[in-house]
Amino acid sequence: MSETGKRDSKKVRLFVHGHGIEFFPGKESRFEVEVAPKASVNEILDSLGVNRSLVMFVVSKGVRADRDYIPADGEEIMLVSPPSGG
Amino acid sequence: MSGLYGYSGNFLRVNLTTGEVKKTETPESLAREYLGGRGFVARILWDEVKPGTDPLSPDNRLVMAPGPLSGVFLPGSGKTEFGVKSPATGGYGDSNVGGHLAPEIKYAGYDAVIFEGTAAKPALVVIDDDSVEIRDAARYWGKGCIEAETMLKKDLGEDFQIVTIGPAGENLVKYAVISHDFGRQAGRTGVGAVMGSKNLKAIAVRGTKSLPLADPERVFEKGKQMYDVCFSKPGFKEWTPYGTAGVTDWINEIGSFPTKNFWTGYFEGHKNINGQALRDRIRITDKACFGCPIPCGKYSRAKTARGEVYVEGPEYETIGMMGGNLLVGSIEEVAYLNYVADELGIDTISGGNVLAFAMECFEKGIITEKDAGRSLPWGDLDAGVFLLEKIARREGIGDLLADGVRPASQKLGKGSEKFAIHVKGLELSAYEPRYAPAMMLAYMTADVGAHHNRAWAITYDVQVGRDSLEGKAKRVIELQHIRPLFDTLGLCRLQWVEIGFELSHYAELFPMVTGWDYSWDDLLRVSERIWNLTRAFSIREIEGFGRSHDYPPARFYEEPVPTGPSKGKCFTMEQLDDLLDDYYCLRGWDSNGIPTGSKLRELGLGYVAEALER
Repeated sequence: MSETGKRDSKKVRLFVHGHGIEFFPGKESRFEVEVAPKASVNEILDSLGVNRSLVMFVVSKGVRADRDYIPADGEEIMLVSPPSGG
Repeated sequence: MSGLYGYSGNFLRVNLTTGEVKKTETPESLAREYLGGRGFVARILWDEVKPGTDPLSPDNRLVMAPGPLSGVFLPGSGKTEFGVKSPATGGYGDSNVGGHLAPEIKYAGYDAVIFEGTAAKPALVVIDDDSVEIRDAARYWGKGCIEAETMLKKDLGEDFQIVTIGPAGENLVKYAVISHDFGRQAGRTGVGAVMGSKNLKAIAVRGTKSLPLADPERVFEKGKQMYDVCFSKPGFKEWTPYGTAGVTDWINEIGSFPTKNFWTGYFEGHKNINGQALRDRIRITDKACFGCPIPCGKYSRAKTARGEVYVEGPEYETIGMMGGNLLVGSIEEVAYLNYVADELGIDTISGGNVLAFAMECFEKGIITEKDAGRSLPWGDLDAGVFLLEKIARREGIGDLLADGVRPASQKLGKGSEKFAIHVKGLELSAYEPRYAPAMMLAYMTADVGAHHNRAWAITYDVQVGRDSLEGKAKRVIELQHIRPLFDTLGLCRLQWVEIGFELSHYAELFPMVTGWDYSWDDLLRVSERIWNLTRAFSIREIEGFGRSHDYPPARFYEEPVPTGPSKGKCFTMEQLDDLLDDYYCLRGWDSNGIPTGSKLRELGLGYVAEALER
């Protein structure tokens, strides 16, 4: 908590989709991160050392979003990595 | 019965010259050392195609092989491998197809079908369990792939699985496909041309037998679990609606979308040909292969000024090669070209390259309107259709283009070799590689020529650094063992690549199916054995084969990318050599890219070492 009583971090649950999982810490598909309250998906990726471009798009509450999306505290978001062509 | 589990127990040999049909037991040693699918193809071609054989002669073989996991109850178990000595490259060639063919071959009782010789007149081979007939195919000859498949389904029955060639295969176009299931293709390396050279218009297969499994109950339980895992994957609902077309925007974002014959890596109009455009404007329904829970196929209806077509697709590769690479700017027009290529039996990857090459030659005055029979402006649907039809029938300019960009550029000269986009004679898939060293190396070293399915390494470039060469060779080799292993087992790799299905499931399942205590590392070892065998095949068949065959066209080391996120990026020859040096060293090959005798023997390929030493 900050001096003003506001939390100075938020928890976001990440659900990583596709083979891009291998580039995430621990190669886990579902895990939680604690980040700054206004952190966007891009900033979350930066904090994890994952290149932003490895997330093709974000899904929040069943709706597609881009990587500028700022998830709410406690939210679970899906990170979709790129597929190869066929 | 051979007593093998996971295998149907027989090889079927069809001699189209003599009409002889012969069934032999699947050799257990071959199954243990090469598993099936691509492994069987590689070993059979090595053993049976005499050195120096003309790929379009009766002496070449066309091998059709499912894998040990094909037809088993698990996600994506519907892949069949086709293999030949490639008329496109002169070296080893294979290509796989999904659909519903592989299980049918297995249920009919076969682990591999080998076609040899050439029929005196157009032939259809009908395999109905133990009954195998060579029938007259005159009434199907000249028909398009989908038209012929429709006719054959009507004539033989819906429960036959059909593969056909189109006019391109009949006319020996060196990038002709083998088509199946109304829009799926074994598309690469000219397998359709070899089928055409044998006067073999179509193969029909129906199987009603059961498949022996080492532990059927555990296979069933494991299979159910694998389906549950697939359905539970977070991307299942997000990826399926778009299929492979969903990656179009991302490839543009990273500046690797082939545009204007790989002149650049970013297409301004990509939003008009992406997965969303496909989904919103032309998709009718989704379409899956045998046993697949993630239907990536998109069946579409496209209306254009030329008329309306129904087509399966377009897949991402087609969007890249017949969209951005030709500057065709609407998903409807890409789908139209897809339809024309599918019906004629032309690979959309090589075909898209060839059309782009012709358009660039036209732009530069190397091909004139008089040469071509019309103008060939970028982005022109009519020009694209015109060229595809000319190529398929080898008419006019089409005869020159029907052999692929390498021979065409060698004949045209005038600097066109620099923008003939191929490696080893096989045209590139839809990833501009100048700002992706691992992807570049993957193209350079793929055993069949420049094909993405051996090692799709571009995400690795993005994550670890696109300017760095470090670690790229190691990564490419890892992928070159994992991805072709799917072709060996008879599986689709998209469950793994697209929705993150864990590889450990396959390792767990394999012993349950076969009764063999193989670990994942054991399976990868087989894959490495096959990789060295296919390299050796090309060394044996192509005079002077080695390092010089692993370089890309000059565009990639002389012309920096002019626009987009990859602007200014280009390889130097020194960088390409560094990549190859690392790669050869890690593989245990010499500096000319030749596997050493000790490496081959270590992999159980002593017979190959002896042949190469001779």
